[in-house]
Amino acid sequence: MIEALDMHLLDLVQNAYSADSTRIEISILCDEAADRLTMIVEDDGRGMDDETLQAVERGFFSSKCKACVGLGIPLLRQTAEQCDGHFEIESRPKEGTQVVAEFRRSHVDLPPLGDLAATFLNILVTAEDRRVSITYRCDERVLEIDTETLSDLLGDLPLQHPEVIRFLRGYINERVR
Amino acid sequence: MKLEELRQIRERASKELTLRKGDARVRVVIGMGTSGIAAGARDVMAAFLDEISTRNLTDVVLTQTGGRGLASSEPVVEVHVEGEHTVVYGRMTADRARQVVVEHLVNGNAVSDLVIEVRE
Repeated sequence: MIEALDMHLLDLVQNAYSADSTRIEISILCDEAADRLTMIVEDDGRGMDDETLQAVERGFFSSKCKACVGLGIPLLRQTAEQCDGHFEIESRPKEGTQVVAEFRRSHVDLPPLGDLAATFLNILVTAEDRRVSITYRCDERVLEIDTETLSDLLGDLPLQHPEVIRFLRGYINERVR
Repeated sequence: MKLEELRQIRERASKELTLRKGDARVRVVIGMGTSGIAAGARDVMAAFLDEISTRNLTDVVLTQTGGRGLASSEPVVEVHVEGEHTVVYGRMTADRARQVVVEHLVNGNAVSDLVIEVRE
C-alpha cells in the first residue's frame, strides 16, 4: 500500500500523465499557524465526466488498465479525512483535473512526507515535453522550479544528462528537507 | 546553488559528443502506476537516476508509464536497447536496478534471474 505522502504525489502525477496532460502544476504548502499541510495537483489533461469521477472516488476503477486496482484516490481521501483534513477532486472533460488533499500537520495519523526531494527529482526528469511546475513551501524552506525555465537554461541538453541530474539533486536537496 | 549554473553545464556539455533529446541507445521504462509505486518503483527510479549520474551514462533515457496490470510482478521495468529485443524485469528493487545498469545497460548482458518477459 501507498503510505508516504510523496508516493501519493507521484501517483497523482502519473494520473495526470496518463490523462495526456501537457501542463501540470504541483504544490505542497504548509501553513504553520493553521497547522495545515496541503497538496495540490492540477493538470490540463482529458479530465473526467461526473460518472467517471464517481467511479474513481468509489475505488476499484481504473481507466488505465483492466487489471489495475484503482485505489490511489480513495486511499488519499481516506488519509486526508482521517487527519482532520479534506479532499477534493474537480474535473471537467477536455479541461483537466484538480486534486486537493489537506491534512492537519500535527495529526497523529499523518503519514510521513517520505523522500520528497527524490520524488521532485523523479517528476522533473521524467516530464519529457510536458510543462511541470513544482512549488514547495514548508517551514521556511522554499522550492519553486518548472521544466520550462529549465529547458530555457538547458537548450537541447536533456534534463537527464548526468551533470544535470547531479545539479538538480543538489539544488532540490538544498531547498527541501 | 543557483539555477543559472545550468548554463555553464550546458556550455561544458555541448562541447562533448553527447546525447541530444530524442536520441538514446537505451530506453528504460519504469511502471509507475499505483501498484508499482506501492511496491517501490520510486526507489527503483531513484537508483537508475543515481547510476546514470554517477556512471556518466549519456545514452540512456528513463521514462515512466502507468500501470500495465502486472501487479504481482511490480515494480516492473522494461529495457529497450536499440536493435535488440525488449527485456522486461519484475520485482525490482533499488539494488536490482543498479545490477541491471551495470550488467545490462553497460556490459550488454540481460540479468536473466530477474527477467519476466522478452518481447520481439
